[in-house]
Amino acid sequence: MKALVLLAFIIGVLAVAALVRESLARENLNLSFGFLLQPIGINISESLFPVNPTDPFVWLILAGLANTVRVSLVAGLFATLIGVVVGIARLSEHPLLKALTGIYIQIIRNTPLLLQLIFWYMLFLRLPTVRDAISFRNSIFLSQRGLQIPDIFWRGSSSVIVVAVVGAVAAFFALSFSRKSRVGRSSLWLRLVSALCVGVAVVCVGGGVGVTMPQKTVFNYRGGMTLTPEFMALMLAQGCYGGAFVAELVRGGLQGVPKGQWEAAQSLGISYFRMLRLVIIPQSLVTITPSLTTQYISIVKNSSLAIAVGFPDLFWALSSAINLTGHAIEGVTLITFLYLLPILLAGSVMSHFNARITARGQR
Amino acid sequence: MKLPTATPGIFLLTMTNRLLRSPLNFCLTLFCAGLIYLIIPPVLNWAVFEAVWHGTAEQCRQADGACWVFVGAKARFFVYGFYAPALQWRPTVAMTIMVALMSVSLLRRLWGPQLGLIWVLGVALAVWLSLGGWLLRPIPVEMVGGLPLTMMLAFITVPLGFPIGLLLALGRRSDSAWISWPCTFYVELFRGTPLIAVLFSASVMVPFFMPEGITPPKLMRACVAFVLIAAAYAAEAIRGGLQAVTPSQSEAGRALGLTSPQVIRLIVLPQALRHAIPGLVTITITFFKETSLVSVIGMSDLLRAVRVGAQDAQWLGFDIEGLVVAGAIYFVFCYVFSGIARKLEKR
Repeated sequence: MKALVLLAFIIGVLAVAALVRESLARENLNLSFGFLLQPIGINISESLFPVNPTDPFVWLILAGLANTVRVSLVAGLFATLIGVVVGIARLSEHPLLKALTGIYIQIIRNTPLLLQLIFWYMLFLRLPTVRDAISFRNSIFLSQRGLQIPDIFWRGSSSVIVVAVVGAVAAFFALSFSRKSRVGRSSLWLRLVSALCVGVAVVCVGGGVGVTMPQKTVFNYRGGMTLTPEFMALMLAQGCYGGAFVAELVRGGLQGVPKGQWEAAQSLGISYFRMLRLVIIPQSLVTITPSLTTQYISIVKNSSLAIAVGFPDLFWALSSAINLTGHAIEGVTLITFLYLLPILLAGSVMSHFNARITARGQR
Repeated sequence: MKLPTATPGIFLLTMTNRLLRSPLNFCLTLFCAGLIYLIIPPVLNWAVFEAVWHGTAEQCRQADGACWVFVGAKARFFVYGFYAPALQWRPTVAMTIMVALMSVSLLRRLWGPQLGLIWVLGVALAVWLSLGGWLLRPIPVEMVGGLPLTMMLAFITVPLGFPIGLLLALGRRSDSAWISWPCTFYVELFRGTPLIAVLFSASVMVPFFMPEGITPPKLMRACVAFVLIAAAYAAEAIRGGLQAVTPSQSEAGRALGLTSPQVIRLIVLPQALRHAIPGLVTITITFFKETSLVSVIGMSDLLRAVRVGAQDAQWLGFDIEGLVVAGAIYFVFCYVFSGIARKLEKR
């Protein structure tokens, strides 16, 4: 029986390979990844680092990857924040709060993400033009071109960075040896935070840290940091969508904590929020983390919808490469590989974290 | 908690108590009231009071509110896409059949092999009605669009993916690594890649796998992609169902003298599938929403019909009304069926 299955599998693979070889010969293509070194020939609309049309495709793909990471991180943060707040709110007895959050969750969960994304994007396109932009204290502007906010820049040399790192590490170890840092399990966090503060302080003082304000010119802004409508639509849509699912997860996890724990904590006489923070939430993490991992993974996967609003993410870069060079099979392999790799990594990191939490819970 | 003598008066009293019980509750009440005040009146203004219900595009443009005239004028197009107007009774009947199929699947009484047969017959009937070919005039595949296309994509691909998913789930549990490893690889691959990437890859790669001269239509490529993905998701749902059946069941079957395949077919599968059906219903509902992605590869489903309608020269600029209508249709369908499915899962 198994031999039959194996035989059928091998025959299938050989037949498909023959078909593919014939098609490739017909199209006059050969299977190679050399197209990655060809010049791009097109422009990218926004990117963290400059990309010229003469750069190779690898550069475009890296720029797309940077954009995907950027939007996924921000959307994930946003979704977690919304999800935790709404999830805890769903547990309260306040009828208005429960009704409002319930409506939010039902609407978001029962409509497609693509529809919500396009909806947000259409809203952003209806913002006023640069001339009539909504401004806040003349430093933050909201218009058709996006959100302009002040940008922090840093003028310094790499030697300042070296000094900062050395100082941070020194602070970390200095605090480790101090007898007075007997604050229990949080001493690791305290040390990390102090080291970070020292590093940032050295960086700020050593180089010149400045702020550029956005200046209004005729059609656009100069200076400052621009968050394009595409980026904001993607971030808001994914944040709200992910937030609704995370909220349900959080609520389910919190309700999964045995009733006895709630009652015991209440009998201690501490406030509701302290009870949540110290007793309920740590125990709910066991059930929440696996599903939360799946949510983050789907946020990364859904960031590929950026192609619908024109945000240049990883999928856009790879599909442009496929369309421009015709190397479909290699391109598709790259797509699967590049999306699977971070997802598998995130999954294994989270399962390691999960194992630590479950081990702790079984003490 | 329902009080034995619950009256509207007591209800109001309980609610008011909860709203104002503590300083925190009072602040929350103020916050929620503020939120409602900020959101509801402008939305109502836009959607109802300042909206234009009858008239022309010009009147719409001059008004501040929503333009429901646009929706009325384009409603046929949203629902049926480019389908020939005279033959639109056919997709209507097809849609009714598919909604009936969905409702029938939620009746516990009918769970079993007969459900599969009902689905096969119903789907075949729906496809025959939409595309014609035998006794009915054939319709070119490109004409099928709008809501029938969305329904067909979800209701055909998930049942087609189900048998493949079943094989995959059983293969994952196999003792031989030759079978279990490729099955696991397949499921993780198609669950880990974004749907849009699979759609795009299928539409780009399928020509390479076809002999000379055959270019399958976009609908077929999208269907292939969806079936492959549905198989992976169904495999996970069935795997959950298989895990819910205790091993003692298969041991008892073995003790009765049944061979391994017989144990699976007669004892494990019926119970596993009964556990897995709520999960499969959820997958169908999720796929109903995910079919909106085909609008990105240029197929004319409900979402794309709504966006294309707003690009008509006469009705430029009314995209948001169209999106609201499409959202409402998706919402009604998903809310109703997922509510029923959730009640099923609880039992």
